[in-house]
Amino acid sequence: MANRLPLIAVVDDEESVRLALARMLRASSFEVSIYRSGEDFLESLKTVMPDCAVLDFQMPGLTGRDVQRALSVAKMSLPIIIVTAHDQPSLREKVLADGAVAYFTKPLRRDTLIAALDQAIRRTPPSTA
Amino acid sequence: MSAHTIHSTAHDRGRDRLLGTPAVDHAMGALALAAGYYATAQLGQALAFPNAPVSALWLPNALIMGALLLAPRRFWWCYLLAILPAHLLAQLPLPDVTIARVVIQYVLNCATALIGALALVQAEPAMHSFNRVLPAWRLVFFGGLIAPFTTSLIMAALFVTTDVDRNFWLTTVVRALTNSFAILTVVPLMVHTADRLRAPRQAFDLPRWIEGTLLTLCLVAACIFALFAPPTHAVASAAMLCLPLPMLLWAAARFGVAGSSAATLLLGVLAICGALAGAGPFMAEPAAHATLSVVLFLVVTGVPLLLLGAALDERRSLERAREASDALHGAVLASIQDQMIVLNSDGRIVDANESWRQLAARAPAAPFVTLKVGENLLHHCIQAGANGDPLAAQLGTCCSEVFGGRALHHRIEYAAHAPNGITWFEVTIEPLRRPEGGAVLVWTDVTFRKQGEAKERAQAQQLVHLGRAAVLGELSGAFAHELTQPLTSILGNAEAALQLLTKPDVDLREIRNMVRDIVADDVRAAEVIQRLRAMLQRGEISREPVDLANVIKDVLDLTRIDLLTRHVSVDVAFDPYLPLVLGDRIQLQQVVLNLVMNACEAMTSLEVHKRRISIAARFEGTTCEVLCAIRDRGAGIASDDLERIFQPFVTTKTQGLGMGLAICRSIIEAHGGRLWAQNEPDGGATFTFSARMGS
Repeated sequence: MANRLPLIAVVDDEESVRLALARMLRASSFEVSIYRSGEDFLESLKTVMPDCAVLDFQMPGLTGRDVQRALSVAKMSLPIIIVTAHDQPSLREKVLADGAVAYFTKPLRRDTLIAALDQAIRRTPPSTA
Repeated sequence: MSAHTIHSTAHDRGRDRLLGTPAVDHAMGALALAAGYYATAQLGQALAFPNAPVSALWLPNALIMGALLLAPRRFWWCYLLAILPAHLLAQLPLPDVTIARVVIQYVLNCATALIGALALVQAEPAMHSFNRVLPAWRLVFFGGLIAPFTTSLIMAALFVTTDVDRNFWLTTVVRALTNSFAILTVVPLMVHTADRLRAPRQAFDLPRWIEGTLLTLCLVAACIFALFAPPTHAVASAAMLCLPLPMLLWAAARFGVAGSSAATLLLGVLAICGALAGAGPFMAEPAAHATLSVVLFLVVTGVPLLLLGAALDERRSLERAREASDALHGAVLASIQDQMIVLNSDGRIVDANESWRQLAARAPAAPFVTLKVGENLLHHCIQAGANGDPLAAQLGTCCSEVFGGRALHHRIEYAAHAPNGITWFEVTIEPLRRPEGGAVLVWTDVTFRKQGEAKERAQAQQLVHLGRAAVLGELSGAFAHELTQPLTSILGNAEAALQLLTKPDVDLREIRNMVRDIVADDVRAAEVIQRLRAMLQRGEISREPVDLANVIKDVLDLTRIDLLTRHVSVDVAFDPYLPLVLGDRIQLQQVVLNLVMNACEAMTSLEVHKRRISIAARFEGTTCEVLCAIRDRGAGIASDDLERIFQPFVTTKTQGLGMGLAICRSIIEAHGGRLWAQNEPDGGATFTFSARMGS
């Protein structure tokens, strides 16, 4: 682990958001893989398992919450952080109750996200599939 | 009901009003007539020349005719029966009479009255009065000519056959003229008296009574002088007959039909008395000739006087009616708060009400309001128009068009700047419906109405705006998302750049890319805000060519996230060459937005994959309109609600005020289009609106 940077998966249908989050995380010494949809991300898990996933809640097709459920069904202990542009208190409670590390509303401050990622990575050691 | 019955009923109603409906009243009337008949029969016998077969003054038949004219026709039998005993009582004691002759006389007397009364009632079923020329002529013709001459022929024939008299024609003419004179004087007097009794009680007119008394005295004096003088030279006697003439004319001129009838009757009584006394110009042998000469004189004098009196009465009546009409006209004009002037066909002001005179003080801006009666408004307007006054020019043109029959009427509205603010006037120009032409112009202060209309417009605009704000409020989540995405990108790129700048080997190319993306996202965020502001702005409603396809695309951009969240897919189909429509882009956006949001709401209970909205826009060539249809796949609308949902505060949704569709319809109707809903056979509902093609 000392030689490898933590791998963070960023899943967002909005390209500009996806790219900006990736840049921010890379500048903060993370490896980043980006996905445009929940389906693409779940498909990628067959080959690579990130240390943490930052999921947009509101996406066409599978939402961030759908992805969280899919991981739970597959009994994958991947730490996830849900981000959303439209805050809903009820959603926050549900995703945290189902084991999400954090729930953030956009726009995201770097310090906040990094702190959550640090906490997530410490809690769950990274693994490869 | 036959025409005859109708006439009879109208005639009877007149008499009922006069005498009262109870039969007792008519029985009393009949008794009075019988008494009058007997008395006048006695008088007639007293005024008969010795050995003359016919009296010179026979009033009973005229009394019967007058009574019949005043009584309802259904009671006539009562009057005719009542005079039988009076007739028998008067005639039987006479020497050389037989029962048969008396009965025939009774029948002929009744016939004389009946023929005249029936003809007059038939000619004018309503209540008779002879103070007009036409009814007076009818009385002369039917009452004074037909009725007496018809019955007199029979009576004379009877006299000749029974050897009472030998001269058939002389007897016929004398009896006819005697009756004629009586009818032409007594009947108008009876009807006039009944009219006076029926009319409301009038104040005692002392000067008129004095005049009447003086006239009577003068007439009596003139008659005594002319008719009781010993017979002298024939020419002098004839000249003396002119003496009463001024008094007779005086009576007709000042007292009308009643005066002329009374004066002629008095003249007749005195003339006959004079002749019986062996004085005056009517002495002749045999007695029948004396009777003929006096009644001929009386009839010849009486007829023109009766007609003169009727003509003067009618003229007075028309003058009174005109005065009343003028007074009413003046009162109506004075009561009208609006300013009114009447123009003749040249444009000259011939009448104006009081309000018009005050208009100049209230609204001095228009120069023509200072014009007075006698001045020419049309010329003034044309002149002022030529000098650059557009309002005067317009008024002049409108007046000319109305005068020339090129316009049925005109209406002009204008604002006058008065010291206490703006006053709005509406001028209506209506043609004066008379052969000479002209026009009536009315100025109405419509300031309150204009203020109300402006307020109503502002409220409607506010309501539309609130409706737009409400539907945008439903999209607040989507807007927050739209705005947050670029902000997230901006913040992410900025934080990354800051982080990179702390490192020793700064990758400037990467930082440049980040900054470029920041700029792009900022522009994107600004566009979102701009779109929202445009929808919420409160500007004036514009009418400009609008591309409806772009309007729909803008709405779909606005609702993209909301549609995504609701899992609603949209398919659109536009005519390839869709013409522009004339309208307000923002308001049309509001309608499409509302209909799209409603379509989403209608499908919330459907399975996700079935939620589909179809939007189609096509050109309808027959009406030169663009039709836009928005269809959902929901449960449809109850047939009773298809029209009701467009009423304010009617909603089929669990939330909302129910104003959305009402506002949409008012917007579309203000654009000259229609908005309606219909159910689709294979499910769902379609809302269609039309918009007029722009230039």
